[in-house]
Amino acid sequence: MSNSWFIPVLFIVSAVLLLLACLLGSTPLGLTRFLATVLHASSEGDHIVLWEIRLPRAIAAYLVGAALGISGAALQGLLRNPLADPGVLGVSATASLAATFTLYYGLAGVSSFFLPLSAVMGALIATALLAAATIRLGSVVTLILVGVAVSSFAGALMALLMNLAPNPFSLSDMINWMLGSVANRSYADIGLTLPFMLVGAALLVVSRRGLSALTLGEEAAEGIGLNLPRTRMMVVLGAGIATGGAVALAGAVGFVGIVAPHFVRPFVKHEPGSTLIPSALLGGCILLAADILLRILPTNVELKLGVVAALIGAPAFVWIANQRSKIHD
Amino acid sequence: MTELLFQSVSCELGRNQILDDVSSRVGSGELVVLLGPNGAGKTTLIRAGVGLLSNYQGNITLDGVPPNQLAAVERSRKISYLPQSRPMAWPIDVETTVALGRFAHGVSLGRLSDLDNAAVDDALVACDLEHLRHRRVDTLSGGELARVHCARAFASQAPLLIADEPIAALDPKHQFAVMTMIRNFVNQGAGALIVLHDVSLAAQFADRLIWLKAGKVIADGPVEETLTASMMLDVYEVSAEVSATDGKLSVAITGIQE
Repeated sequence: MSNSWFIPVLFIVSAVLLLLACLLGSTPLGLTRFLATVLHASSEGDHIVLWEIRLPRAIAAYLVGAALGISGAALQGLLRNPLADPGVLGVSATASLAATFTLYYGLAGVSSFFLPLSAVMGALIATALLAAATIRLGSVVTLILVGVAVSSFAGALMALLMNLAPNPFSLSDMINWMLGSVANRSYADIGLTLPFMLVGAALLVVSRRGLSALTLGEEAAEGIGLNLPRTRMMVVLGAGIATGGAVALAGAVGFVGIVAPHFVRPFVKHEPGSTLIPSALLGGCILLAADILLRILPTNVELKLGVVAALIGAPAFVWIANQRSKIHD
Repeated sequence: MTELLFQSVSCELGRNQILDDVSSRVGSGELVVLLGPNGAGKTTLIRAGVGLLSNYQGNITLDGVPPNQLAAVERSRKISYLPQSRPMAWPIDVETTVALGRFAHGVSLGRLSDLDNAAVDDALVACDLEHLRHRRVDTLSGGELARVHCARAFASQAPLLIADEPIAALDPKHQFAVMTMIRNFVNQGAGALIVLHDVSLAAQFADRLIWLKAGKVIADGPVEETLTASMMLDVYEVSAEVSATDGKLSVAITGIQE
């Protein structure tokens, strides 16, 4: 289906960005120092900077982008709408609300698995709600409105939690969740959330034929032999679990899930099943590039990844919405 | 030989009786047109027939098995279904759309077997779409798109075609073209149940007409026997003149009868 060079190119870009992420930063690590570190022939400091700070951070950014990219692509296929995205539809906000709630009550201290679990639960609740609303209402505009409602409801509860925050430290923790960031992530954090992202992505990849069938509309898709309830369930579960995992790692980062599939589509001839893998790769690249950018920007306080993603993504969203109305109305 | 059988099928949605004791059949080798005014229950009847509706009383069987008890894939290998609304969510190309008709045969797009490719090619030829094979569906006219949907249904090679208003909103030339395609499909041994609003076109192409009104079958039989002025009055509440040219009946509506 897709142009055969497309996926390999995305892999190469991913590798280059990962390398750049290791080299660039507040103290640029030249290629020689980088190679020395890789070959275990450098100072303790360089070693820590590369292996304990930059690499896990880069991997976290890439994984979060990939999970959001594939979730966005799958939700767009299921809802047959290029504006669907875990961020826009309030899935990320609900997940980060659930995660904050866990932090607030100190449950995260009981077992470290509580945090990703609660984020996944939050994401699943929001995704299931949206899927139910789509079945009942069927209209794309209504769906976006329901998403906005879910998003602002989660935002309001988040504000309430912040209002009740017992001390400034928890408050700053919560703000980190709301804004989204991959700074100071450890391999342990990644190890805790990666299984969720992998399982979610696997569920989505398994459903890709169903997403292609849904191009014809739900009724015709069932007519050609699609088990619609099953596909719906798989995509809702997959997108919820993958987004929940991403939120557990980085907090709420928006718009990657909408921008990545949009740029992928022309290269796979708009075939929804074929957008999944490339959207994951491109989503990873976009978020990693954004993270590199905010690290090398000469600002006193480092910008939050979610803020940068929104600054780039929100105008892109408007642009995509505008293009869509030109085609369909 | 495939046969879809309706036996005393009734259906209520809310407080409304949509279907009332409907019995009929469609089998291989015949083109049956389902006629009736808006709201007569035509769409409900065919949706129940393709197994997408389960809250009915009575029996519907597809070769002996209720279609809603068949797995989606098995059912689709026996019936290809063209629903009334056919929105295309993404601008995929014509060939890909037609290949979706092979879904029930386990096809992954981009990985078609020789058998699948042959079915897609045959369907493209039957619907005169070869020259549009690589066009995106959002660049097609309404008539071309209707042909693409027909080709998609033919590509599945299911022995029974059920189509809900396949020629709605088409110009006369494309209406005739699509009906001719369906007729050819039936002449090759398939069966078809088609919902139409154009009674003259139905008379020209159908082997049998099912007249539905307020959920009841008013008549079910060959065109020559059932297409009469009094039937037009009973079912559509219009006065009409039925005339024959070259052995084919046609209808001219002359007024509304309240």
